[in-house]
Amino acid sequence: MVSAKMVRGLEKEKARIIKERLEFIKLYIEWIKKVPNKEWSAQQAILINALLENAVNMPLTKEKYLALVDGNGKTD
Amino acid sequence: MEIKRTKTGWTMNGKVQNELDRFVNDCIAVVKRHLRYVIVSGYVVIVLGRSRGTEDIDMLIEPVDRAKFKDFYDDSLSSGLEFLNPEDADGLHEMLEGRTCIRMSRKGMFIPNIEIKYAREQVALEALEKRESLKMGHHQLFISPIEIQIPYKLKLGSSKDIEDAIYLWELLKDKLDVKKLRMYMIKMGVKGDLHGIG
Repeated sequence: MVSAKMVRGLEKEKARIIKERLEFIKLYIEWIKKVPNKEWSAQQAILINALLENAVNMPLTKEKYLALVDGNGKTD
Repeated sequence: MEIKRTKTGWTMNGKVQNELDRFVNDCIAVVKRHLRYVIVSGYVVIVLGRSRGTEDIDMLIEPVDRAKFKDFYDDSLSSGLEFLNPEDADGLHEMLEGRTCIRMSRKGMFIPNIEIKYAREQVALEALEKRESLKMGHHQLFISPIEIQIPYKLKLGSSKDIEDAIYLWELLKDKLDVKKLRMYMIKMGVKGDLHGIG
């Protein structure tokens, strides 16, 4: 059973994570505003290409994928 | 980031294309021959630099008749693309008419894919009608006005969507029409002050 104290603890943790993520976004924006397009986009390409490569290796069929994404809405 | 906004849209040169960009460019090369479209939601934020991935791109199109859709369908197949849904051209057209989205991908792959649906609701129609060009070297695509995207993301309301809204605002606030942004925030019933937006 989940106690009220545990819920409060989780809420506090969630708020901390959100705060950290927003701080990261602001730092990232400070950086991206300063650097040329070639620089940030080269780094972004490494991340996106790696994510897509991993996704391609997902053990899913087209049919299962469709059922998954169109069953529960948006995935973006 | 070097990005400019003029009356004719956005220009951002020198961007290194990633696999998602290449896929979008290949699809748009076909789509634009047949349909009026606008890219909305996650990919708009990603193409403008946010460091996150997505497996699908959201595209709104204006309703088309069956014959025009069939031309688009045939052109897609002969251009190395396919539709994930098992329906034929008529079936896919019926899905769109029935307010269901369809998904297009490279032949033999299902990630990434483009989720295509008709623009029907007021905000979607405005995004399509007021779409803005984004030129990147010799590539060009049409994206939703950022003044619509930010409130739309706030309206969706997940952590990821709110982060996207904050990202767009913080990155582009000196280039946005704040009056217009506030108007759309009122229209969509969202408030940005909690996040320092607007």
